[in-house]
Amino acid sequence: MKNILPELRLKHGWSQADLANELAVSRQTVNAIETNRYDPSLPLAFKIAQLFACPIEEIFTADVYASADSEVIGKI
Amino acid sequence: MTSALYIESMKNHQQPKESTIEQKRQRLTGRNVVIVAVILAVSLGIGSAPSSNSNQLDTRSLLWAVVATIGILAFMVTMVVDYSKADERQRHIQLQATAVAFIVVIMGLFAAEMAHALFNVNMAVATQVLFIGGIVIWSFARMLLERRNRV
Repeated sequence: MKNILPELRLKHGWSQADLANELAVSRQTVNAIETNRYDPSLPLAFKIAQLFACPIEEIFTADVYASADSEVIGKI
Repeated sequence: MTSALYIESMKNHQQPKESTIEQKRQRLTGRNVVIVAVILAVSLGIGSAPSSNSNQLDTRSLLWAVVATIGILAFMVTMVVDYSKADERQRHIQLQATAVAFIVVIMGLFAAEMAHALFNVNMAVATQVLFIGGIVIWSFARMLLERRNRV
């Protein structure tokens, strides 16, 4: 699963530790999510979506859709 | 000017700070680990292999058993508290490490039982080795899984 968490976080001017405090998780967990090494649970994904006031599907994209999007962009 | 640039670059290269919830968890676990270590050290000081020659339970063996039991119970409480304070990824890692250690200990118990039946290996020693080995393997597996994400 891919995500735009780093972009959203930087837009708010937050460090990973700040975001971790907001989500009540460790900074390592935020880092693992941002680098696509850990997929958050549904409750945590909802918490992230609520925090950034974005729909979940805008923040997280399944790999299959992400690759399909890039293929479409490549053809254009 | 140079020093100002240096300070600015140092600011940019600060060690990543942990979240407050993680700092609290680490502090609590650290304190609990010290308590467990002290209790287990006292239990080792009393003696790790009480005499099994006599059928009578002597005071020293009883004391060793009580202190060792308190130490193991304290260790279990430490693990449960650490698990309850961990976030979902850390819990996932702890469960993965537990699964690895469980398989190793089960296979070790089977091997020890076979060795006992075939070569009359001392089961008391084998279970002690398996117990300590299980904890070591659990800690090692957890450390390896944690390091995969450490940045």
